[in-house]
Amino acid sequence: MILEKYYISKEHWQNVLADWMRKHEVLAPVRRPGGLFFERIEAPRIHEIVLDGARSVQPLKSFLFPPFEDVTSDPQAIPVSSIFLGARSCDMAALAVLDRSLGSGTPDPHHANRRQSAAVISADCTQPYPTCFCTSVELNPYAMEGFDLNVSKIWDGFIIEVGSARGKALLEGFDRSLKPVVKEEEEAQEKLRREAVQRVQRWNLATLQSFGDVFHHEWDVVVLKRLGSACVECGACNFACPTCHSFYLDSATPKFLQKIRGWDSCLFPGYDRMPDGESSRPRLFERFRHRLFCKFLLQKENTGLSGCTGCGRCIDACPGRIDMRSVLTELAREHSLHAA
Amino acid sequence: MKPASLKSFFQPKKAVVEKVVRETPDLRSLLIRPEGGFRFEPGQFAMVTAAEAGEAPFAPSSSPDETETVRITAKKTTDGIQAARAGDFVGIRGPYGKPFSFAPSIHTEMAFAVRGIGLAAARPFILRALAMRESFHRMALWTHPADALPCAGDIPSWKTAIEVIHGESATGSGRPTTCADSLMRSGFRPERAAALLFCGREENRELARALSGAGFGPESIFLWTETRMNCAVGHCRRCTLDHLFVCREGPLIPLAALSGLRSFGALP
Repeated sequence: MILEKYYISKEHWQNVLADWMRKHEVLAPVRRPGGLFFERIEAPRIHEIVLDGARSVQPLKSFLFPPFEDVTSDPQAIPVSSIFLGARSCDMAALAVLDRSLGSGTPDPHHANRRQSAAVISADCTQPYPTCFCTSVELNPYAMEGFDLNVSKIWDGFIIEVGSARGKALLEGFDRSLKPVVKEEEEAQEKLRREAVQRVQRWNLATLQSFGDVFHHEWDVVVLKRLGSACVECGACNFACPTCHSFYLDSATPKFLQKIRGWDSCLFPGYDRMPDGESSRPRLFERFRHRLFCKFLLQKENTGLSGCTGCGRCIDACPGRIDMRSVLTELAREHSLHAA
Repeated sequence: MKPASLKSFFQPKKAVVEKVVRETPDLRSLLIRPEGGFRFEPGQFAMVTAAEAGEAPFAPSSSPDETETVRITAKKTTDGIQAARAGDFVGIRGPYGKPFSFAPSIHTEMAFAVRGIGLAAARPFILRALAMRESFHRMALWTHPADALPCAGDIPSWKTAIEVIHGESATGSGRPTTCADSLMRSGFRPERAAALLFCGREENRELARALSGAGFGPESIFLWTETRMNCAVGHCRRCTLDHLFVCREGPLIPLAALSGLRSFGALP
């Protein structure tokens, strides 16, 4: 829900950023070979921050649920007051999935502490990639909820939307920099948002409009094997995915009873192998199918939220060039759910 | 931005191995004494860490009323745990999983079907049921004569309270279907009975089908369901059967919750 809305000029915005950087650890996207990457930014590098354009290459879980972590360490040692600036709508959706998954039952203390010590400021996506398909999973390239603040770059400034008390607190002391939003600015924001939506839709003219139905059919194994034949079980899709949170607790650690948590992949053959060698999904096509089910159906049944945010990182990451959209579209076609 | 006051739940408690019992050629039990004790209910399990060998889930084979020490029974495959000796230290965290609700008002008859190491997992249930024996009209334990059972020394002492049915090796099978037959022959009434199955993945399924055929309802057949577990708190998703977290909903799961799951499939 949007509580308040302001316009801020670029100069004033930079003052705000500089102030935040004095008080908090600010992570924001900067341009690097291959795309945008979140990095810790300090005042001299403010100008490097990219708040328009597309999503970052690495998912935000890299910071909130790091690839390796000693989970027997004191979770309260974590809090550094941080700000994630420039999360895209797909990132926001992924944070909500992780909040619900890792917060279910007994909440994960390390994730919860990191999450609670971080403010998240989203930014509208203006140049979605060809691999993006957020509009196919009922999202937009701009965030509507979940953020503390959201920024939309227009002309030579930003529209700032306040989504929480924490967001409002971040703007304290900058009253004179914040102007009421005028009609033209609001129209410019809407126009840019509309264009971004159209861009995603254009990239996805051949994509199935809704992925739900295909999961209620028994998939032809021959077709599935063909579609997954390029999978080399590297796990890149899992690691690039902003919502995949399967992990392995490693006990072979230097200290007795220490546990190191590391990201894991449900595509690895040993993922669910029992000590007696039994596995629920011994064959690759079964694991490949499971991943799709997990993303689009199972996580939704568990959390009420889609496990896929349409960010397309798995498509970009796959060395076999497997495109989840084409796989599901092809399966739908097999079941005559989608016209050729 | 105040951090949550949460403590890590992945930190195991230190426990000393008091005794190692060689149960059968390939089964060993460790009696461990965790610092501060360990409480659990039938149906729950613990994650046990042996130095360098890693961590694995174990349903205690000891009584849930014993809180100072815990007995765990391991197969050869869990060699790190098997290698532990008296005096060694291990780690234990938990309990995890869903405590089983005995419901004598619904299920006045209790049947336990076990194969091999299954008796280790079944033992807390049996011991608890024995402690409330007067609540049940009938109790039976079905075992297979060819199996070497852990904690088998108990069985003679149970015999007055529990009807012990041995699978019919004479027929050459001793397959679970004969278990259903045996239960029916000994007068079990499917509408009043609960059957708890600890016979391994495939045999549990066969037996569930046979019991269903004999009139047991899907809410009265419980399958001890083993999947690979790691976090034990429903976060890592490794143990899931479709959307069902075995670590939270199990390991003892009613057939009603399993049937219809893609990962469980149709009964044979």
